[in-house]
Amino acid sequence: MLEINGLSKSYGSHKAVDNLSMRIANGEIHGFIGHNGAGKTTTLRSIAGIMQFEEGTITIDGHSIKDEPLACKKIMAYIPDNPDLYEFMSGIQYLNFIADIFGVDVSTRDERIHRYTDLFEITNVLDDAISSYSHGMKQKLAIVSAWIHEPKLILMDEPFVGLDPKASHILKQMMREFCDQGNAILFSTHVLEVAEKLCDRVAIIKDGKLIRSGTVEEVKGDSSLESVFLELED
Amino acid sequence: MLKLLLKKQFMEFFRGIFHDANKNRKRSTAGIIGYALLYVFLELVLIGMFGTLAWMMCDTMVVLDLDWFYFTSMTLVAITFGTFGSLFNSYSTLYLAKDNDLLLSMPIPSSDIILSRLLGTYLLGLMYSGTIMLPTVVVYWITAGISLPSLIGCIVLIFNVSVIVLVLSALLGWAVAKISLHIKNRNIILTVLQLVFLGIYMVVYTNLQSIMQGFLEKAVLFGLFIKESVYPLYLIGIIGTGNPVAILASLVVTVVLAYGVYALLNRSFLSDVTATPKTERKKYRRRKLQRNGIFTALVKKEFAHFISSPAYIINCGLGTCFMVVAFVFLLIKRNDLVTMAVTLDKMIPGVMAVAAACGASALACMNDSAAPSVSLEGKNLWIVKSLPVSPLQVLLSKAALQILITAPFVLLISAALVVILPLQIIDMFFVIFLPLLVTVLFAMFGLMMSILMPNLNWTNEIVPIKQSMAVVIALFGNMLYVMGMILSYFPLAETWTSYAYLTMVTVISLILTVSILFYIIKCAPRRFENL
Repeated sequence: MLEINGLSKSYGSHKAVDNLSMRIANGEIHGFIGHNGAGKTTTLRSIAGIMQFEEGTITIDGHSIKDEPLACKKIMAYIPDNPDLYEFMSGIQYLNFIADIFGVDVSTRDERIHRYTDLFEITNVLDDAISSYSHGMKQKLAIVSAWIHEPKLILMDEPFVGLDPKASHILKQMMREFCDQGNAILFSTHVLEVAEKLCDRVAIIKDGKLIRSGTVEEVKGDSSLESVFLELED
Repeated sequence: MLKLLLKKQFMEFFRGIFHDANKNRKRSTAGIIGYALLYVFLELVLIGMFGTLAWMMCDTMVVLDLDWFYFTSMTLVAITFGTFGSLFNSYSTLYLAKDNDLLLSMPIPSSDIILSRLLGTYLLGLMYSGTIMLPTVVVYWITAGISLPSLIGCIVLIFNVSVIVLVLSALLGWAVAKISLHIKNRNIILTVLQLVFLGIYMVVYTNLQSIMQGFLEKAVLFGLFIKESVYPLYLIGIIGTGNPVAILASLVVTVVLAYGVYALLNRSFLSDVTATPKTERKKYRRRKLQRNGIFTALVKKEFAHFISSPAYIINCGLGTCFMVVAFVFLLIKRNDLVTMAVTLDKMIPGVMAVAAACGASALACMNDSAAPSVSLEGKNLWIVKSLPVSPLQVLLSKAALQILITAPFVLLISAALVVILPLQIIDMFFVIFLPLLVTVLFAMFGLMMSILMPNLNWTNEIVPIKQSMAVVIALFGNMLYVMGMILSYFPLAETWTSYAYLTMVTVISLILTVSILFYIIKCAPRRFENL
């Protein structure tokens, strides 16, 4: 589904991502772990096609993000770490806007919007302006907007931040079901317990370089993911 | 603490000059100088406009020994211009800044936050009032000669005016904040409120020439009246002439006024900023959703943004309001207009058609919603960049909004002119077509400026809407173009027919539109991707 080869991205003289290569297969939940400033967000933004990069290739379902950005974006959704949404819109206007962009037909969008907003219990505030939403509500809306066009790949940057325990639980279930249908997810997280329980594979990044990747079992071995991470960070 | 906040405020205020948003790095020295020179040039153009007004008045007043009245009149113009110029800027800067929560969560005295915020309003007010006061004093010194008392007096006067502008705009901002806490449809009411203020301003401004003429004719009488009945205005006037008592008294009054307003703001700032505005929670009702195409969805998004912000409407959609007023005016005064147009057309053949086509275009030039549109994406930029829409579609949707809020009204004005005025068929075509073409040209020009000079890091949307270089250039560029369209006809009127002239203007406008469109198609998407 996703293939990254030799990705490099610099901010001035600082190399944020350095020759990173990784592959995510269909049906996989892939966790992306690293300390603050390790290059996780830069990598996710590069894959999402919202940040230019100097070297390497990124292909999504066989399409290059550099050469065929629209083809890639049609089958992908991105949820940033801070859900800055259009505050001048209401929740329903925003979801309808996203559905319009992805060409979701009316009955399907209606069914999906209400299915997911019911799940996250935000249906009753859909007519309110997004500016009146809490951080968690915006995060839930961003998640719903990612799911309503049924992408094949979802990129999420710290998706659990700001969510209440129930919403976190629902999101984990949604992620599992989504990948069980043959799709893929790449998400960054600092919550290593979540990564350990939820992910099929994990990748650890340090100073822009991939230092370990594989199935959760391969990466952690006999110890916990936390201890492996701390060991690698030292 | 205050020093730190002032530094932050300065950084935000001058960011457009020192920071290149396209390359996300500090601008080169040449770039900074270029930007600064552009600001200076635009400021000089305005100073030149008000300098002409000062010349008109100063000679007569000095001859009549009414030097003080000259200063009083120009000071009142400067206070009016400065206050309306920074109107609602103080409200946005003080109460709507996005970093209010952050600053208030830290152990920073609210008085420091107010002071640092007021600095931005002060600088803007100083810029507006200085544009008038600077030529006022220079013209006076040239006409009446310079002396030490007058030099000191004029410096104090410029300072006093800038502080009074700050005091008035801060008071207005405070009043708007208070009102907006207690009303439901804030956006509509604030927009109407601003339009009312602006209407008063425009009425005064458009009648300035006749008001000034009346002033000059009855200057002695007015002077006597003011001296006897409105003594403070007389005092303001004699500051400029160097009266030491007036200088000292005005300084004391100005400082007391400024402190009074600061104390007033400080007393309720925390409660005003942290108060929850009166909003009505809507109970969601499931209804049939409407499906739109990609481009329509993007344009609708732009439109939703436009109507959500009174500042955006007032600063970038003013032409639409004027066109509605102009349409009503045309209907009411059609007979007078026809008489005047026919008379003028006899004096300068063809001027009726040229004036009609250019007049409708002039109204279109006041809409510039495309100019701040890229900057207004701000932190939401990731949304359109991550969606399967091409940068060109995103950019053109921004131009489309400007065309959408302008073209129908331009058409209305043009149609009214065609019906009212006795034009030839060929001229009718130009009166309809040229303003529409110019509308598209201005939208494309604004969009080009927007992508060339974006500013995505702002804490208050008034910054990209009102204080960005893109907006200033777009607005001035549009105005200059329309002025050029009208003025160029006069030297050609004797040898050119109106339709030959309008054909030439149409061809030039078409070439410019296509050239800018070509740039937007070829280069703008790449710039947008790199933001």
